[in-house]
Amino acid sequence: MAIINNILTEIGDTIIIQVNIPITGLSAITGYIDSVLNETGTRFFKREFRYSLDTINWTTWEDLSVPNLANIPVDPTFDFMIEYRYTRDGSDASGTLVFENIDLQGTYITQQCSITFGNSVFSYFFNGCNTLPVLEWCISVLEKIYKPGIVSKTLIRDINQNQNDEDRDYIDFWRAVCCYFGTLVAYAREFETFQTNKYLLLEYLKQRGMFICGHTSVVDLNYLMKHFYDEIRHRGTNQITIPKGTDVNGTPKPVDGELLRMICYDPDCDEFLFAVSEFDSAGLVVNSWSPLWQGIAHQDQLTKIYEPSDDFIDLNNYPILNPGFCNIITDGTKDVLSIDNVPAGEVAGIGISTPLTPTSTDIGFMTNISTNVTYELSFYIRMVDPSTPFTVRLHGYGVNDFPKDIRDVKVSPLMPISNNAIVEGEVPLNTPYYFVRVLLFPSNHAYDPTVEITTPGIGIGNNLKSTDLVCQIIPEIILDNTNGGGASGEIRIWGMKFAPANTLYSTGFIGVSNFVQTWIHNNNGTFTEAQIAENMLRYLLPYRATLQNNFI
Amino acid sequence: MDLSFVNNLFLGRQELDFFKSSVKTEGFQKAFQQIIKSYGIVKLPLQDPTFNYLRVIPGSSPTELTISAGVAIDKHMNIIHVKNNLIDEIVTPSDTVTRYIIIKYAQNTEEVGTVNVDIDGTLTGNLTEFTKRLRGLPDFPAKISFPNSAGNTGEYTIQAITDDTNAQLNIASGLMVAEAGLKYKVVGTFTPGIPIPLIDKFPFKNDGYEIRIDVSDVLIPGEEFLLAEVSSDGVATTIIDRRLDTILEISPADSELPSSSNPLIGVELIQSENSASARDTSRVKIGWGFKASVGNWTYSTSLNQITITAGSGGSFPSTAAHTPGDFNNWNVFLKETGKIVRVVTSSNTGPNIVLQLEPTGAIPTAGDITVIPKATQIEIITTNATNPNANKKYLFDVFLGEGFCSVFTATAAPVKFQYRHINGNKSTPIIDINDGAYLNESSFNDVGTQIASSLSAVTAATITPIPHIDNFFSKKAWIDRKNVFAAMQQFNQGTQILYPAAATTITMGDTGNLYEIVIGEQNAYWMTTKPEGTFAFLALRAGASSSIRFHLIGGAAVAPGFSRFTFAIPDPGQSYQEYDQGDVLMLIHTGGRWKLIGSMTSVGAYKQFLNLTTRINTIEGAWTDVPTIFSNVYQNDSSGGLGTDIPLNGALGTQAPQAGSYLRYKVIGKTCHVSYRLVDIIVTDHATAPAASIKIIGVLPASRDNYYGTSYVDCHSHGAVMSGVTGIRMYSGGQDLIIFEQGLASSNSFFNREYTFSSTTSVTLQATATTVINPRFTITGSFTYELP
Repeated sequence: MAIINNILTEIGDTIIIQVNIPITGLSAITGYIDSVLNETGTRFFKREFRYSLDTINWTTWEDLSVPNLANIPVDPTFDFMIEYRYTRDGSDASGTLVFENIDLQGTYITQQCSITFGNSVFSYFFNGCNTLPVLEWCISVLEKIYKPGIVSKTLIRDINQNQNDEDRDYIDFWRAVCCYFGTLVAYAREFETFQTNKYLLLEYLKQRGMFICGHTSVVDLNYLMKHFYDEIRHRGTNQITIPKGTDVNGTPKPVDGELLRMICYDPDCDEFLFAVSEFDSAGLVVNSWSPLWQGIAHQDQLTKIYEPSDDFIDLNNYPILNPGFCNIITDGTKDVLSIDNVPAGEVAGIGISTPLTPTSTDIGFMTNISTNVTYELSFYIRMVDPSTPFTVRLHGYGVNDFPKDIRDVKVSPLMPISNNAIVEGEVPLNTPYYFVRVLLFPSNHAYDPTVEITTPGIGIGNNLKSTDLVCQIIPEIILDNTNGGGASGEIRIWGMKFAPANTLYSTGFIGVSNFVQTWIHNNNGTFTEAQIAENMLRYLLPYRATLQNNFI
Repeated sequence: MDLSFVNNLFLGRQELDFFKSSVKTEGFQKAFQQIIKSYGIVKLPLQDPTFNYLRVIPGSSPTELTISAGVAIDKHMNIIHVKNNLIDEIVTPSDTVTRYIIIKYAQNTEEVGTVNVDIDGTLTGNLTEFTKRLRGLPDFPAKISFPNSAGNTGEYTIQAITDDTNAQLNIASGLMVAEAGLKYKVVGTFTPGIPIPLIDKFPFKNDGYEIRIDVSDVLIPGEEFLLAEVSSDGVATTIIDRRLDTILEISPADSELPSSSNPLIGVELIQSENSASARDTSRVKIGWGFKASVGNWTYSTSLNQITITAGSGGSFPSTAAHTPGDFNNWNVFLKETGKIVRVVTSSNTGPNIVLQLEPTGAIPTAGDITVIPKATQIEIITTNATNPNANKKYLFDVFLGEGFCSVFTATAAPVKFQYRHINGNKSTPIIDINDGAYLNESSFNDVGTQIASSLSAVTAATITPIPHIDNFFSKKAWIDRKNVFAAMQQFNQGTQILYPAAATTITMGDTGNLYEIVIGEQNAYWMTTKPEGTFAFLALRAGASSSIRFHLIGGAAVAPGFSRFTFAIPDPGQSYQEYDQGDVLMLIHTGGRWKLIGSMTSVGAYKQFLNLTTRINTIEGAWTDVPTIFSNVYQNDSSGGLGTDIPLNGALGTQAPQAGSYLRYKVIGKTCHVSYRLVDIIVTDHATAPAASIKIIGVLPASRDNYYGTSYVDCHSHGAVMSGVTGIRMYSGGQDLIIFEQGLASSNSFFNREYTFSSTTSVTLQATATTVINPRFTITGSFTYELP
């Protein structure tokens, strides 16, 4: 109940402050606090109030004083309404008086809406059983029914303005009727502008068969409503997996893809991987895939960062430290990242300069992970010059909370190693490319001291495990010449990948086409994981696709 | 068990295990278990002819033993595979205690060969097969470990494989220790990030073995196999091969290929059936094994050799017939124990046969032995050349070494012998037996006792048994005619009719000849009633052994009751036999009596002989030409006497016989056949003496008689008419034999005719006219005479 910016300039100017809806549950009034400006001893407001206990009949104006307010016979069951009248008074006609607001003080008993209302459809539209549009219509019509003209006078009422509560029965009866119809009217009025009603808009789109997250904004919902058929057209294509923003081709995406909407994808922290397995990534393909194998190798669609090919294509896709020492060169049949001529005291390679305080550019190179998934960071490395060590790190981050620890998997209790190298060493020969695979285990990974779990395949360093708050990572593969000694050395990187390391299932299928694997986190409480899978198969994926969801 | 592969079927470990089980444990393993009779060391005659599989042999010292590579199969169908010789694998104490070397199956995850590793992680293999077992980057590299390494105890990823003996580990610097002679295992290629239980690692499970030496020979049946019992005193090692105790055998029969041929199989003897039998068959003993009686062979334990000093079998009459290698891969059947031992090689040492045996247990030197081909059975096939329904097949167990075949001998016919070796369901092709000598019928008396060593030859795997003289078939009564008893009946009843030798007698040679006597003419019949005609035409002297083949020409039947053809035995007191059926008789005169050795064919039809002419042909021998001079052919000279020789085809005035002339003869038995042709002899006219005389001497013996012959004289002239010739006469010894009474020029009707000579010693051709001008005569003739 605040009325602001009311300015009175003349003596005698009056403002009446009304409220549109009654107060129910009021058990006592103890006083008031108002806020006015420029009031002096000769220029002040005359404060008055009147009230109604049935929203129809009003008392006479009384001075607004605590005793007068305290004398109001309130009842929590009454629909209490009050009006204030502020009149400029005093002898000083100069200046202005400004009414800002007034608060009525008292005790209040919260009125619970009935269970019937809570179970009714109206509860989806109105904040409570006494919501404004309903009460407005209810009071207005009740007054008309109370006053002569509609209901026969044989029903005696309004003789003494209900001073003694003699019309209580009449008013209560018709209030119930009027408020009921008021509810219906208010409900009906919601459909006049359903596009502004999120609930109706959601229902509208859902009932048309579109999958919508309940958190979708009204703006996005309106876009979907207007581009309904275009969105349906995206089904069976990878458009269902493109998040809101700009896709890899630079095409704007006003809304999340339908699969993302269905799972209420959170781009800030949710892992989302969607891959249609290639021909040689399922079943039994000699030297390419094994029925019992549960690894992820050779599935470019599951490569999270930075490029899907083994060859380096564009260093702009990578966070590069000291780009002047990093180049893409051709080594035989490979296009590799050459890190060369790093002077003493410098570091160069893949990574960011301030891991503890990443810049907005750095954030763009981060990738979401799930703390429930095992990942692998893998690459090939060739040490062209002797004694040129390489260093591998993995930096973890939480949402709006940088950085987060990623811990050494073999250390128990967990110890933070965010800024410590997880692999640091050399390879013995300078001709072959050695394969380095660092595993990032889930946060709940059990302590396991076996070497193949704790140590990367090259025999040195530590595999890692997530902590619960980590949801993004950024890798670092560098030639660290901080201490000198490796200035003239060169290392070459090829085939860098960060991807899930394994699945919980094998892919020993026979005759499977369009094998789709996903790693998704379902935030949509309206669908179970089974329903999501069913919806995907029925509506979103091409016919004959075989789906394997990894719900995170 | 089977696993259906269908679309949309998930293939997981369970399905794959089921599939493997259906193929392996519930598949071929179970199938093989059903047909294997006993488990143990595998004997492969082709791959391992000397049976060296898993043999225990002396090692580098008297207490060390080496085990040869080989294979055994246990009852679980596990393959106990020793891939390479295990040099000095077993050490036995030098305490002379007998110990047993026992092998059993053990799975082995170690790979073949050893590797050296350097500090860079470079692998260098020895006898390794890296390309078959390992996989390098980038495709799912394998991991390996070194089980016997002291410094490299981890699991290492393969970075690259160059070839079977060179590979590189994917390992950071400073982690490897240089080591040599390391065994290696394939840990496997597992999903990254998944802890793999140890039991799931090392997926390559090779067939291996576990060998122990024990003082006890108690084995786990079907799982453990005894290789040898050994002992050592520190100086010498005693090894008794026990592998044959547990040998892999397939039920129901060994499926090894049998010996392809048999160098000794042949006919050993033939003897008639017992006299109580019909004697229409004879017993032919075929030998396919070489038999040596106890005492004629020895066994060397140290050399594991049998030496045969005397023996025989089949076509091998003695050990001398053996050539080295004849008995390679054969078996020796020890009659004393019934045991069969494989012969690795056979050789000759002097007159003895030496058999190098496959390792086996001790061989007792008692009892007879037979060297037999590697087969379980032998089939003998007899083929009768003229009696297909007498063909027979006989099946013998090979270990018998010999067997009797009953061949049809009611009539004489060649019988061919063939054979094949059988081993289970395998057989060699049917081939001929070997040629050689055998004891013929004359070597045995009527009860089969050898009374002589009369040999006959097997030629082209064929013998011709001699029908027994008393065989039932040749003497059976012909009871299909009324009132006629067969010859045998008559003979038996003593009603034979004897005829004296006829006046016309041919004397034939005593031995070594086969005569054919042709009686009758084509489609002509000679028939008489009793008593039969009294002519006789044959006489063989007592003791002659020549054979006579009577060829009776005729075809139509005669009514019952007519006489039959008979022939006479010249010596009174001898029996005679008569036959009236068939076309051919074969008889032999043994000195005591005639024996029928052939039989009549076309039995069942009576023959009659309307006319009988007898012609005796020698069916052996050829003409002998008098080479140079038509000796002693004379031309009448002016004095009328015999003078100058006329050379054959030579030049003697103008009277020489011209080209095409010949004088030839041949002797058949005791008959000499002479044939001559004088072409274009010019005969000078002579008034009183013969124009020419021909005197054949040189060919003719001093003592001769009984000339039988014909001659043709053809006369013609050259350039002038032969006139005034009143005749030509054939002159012999001053006596005219033939006189041509007509003039040559007037008629040829007297020429070109046949003259019969008789008891003539010379022939003179004489012209009786004086006006003949150089007539030319061509004289063709032939005659025979008896030799002394």
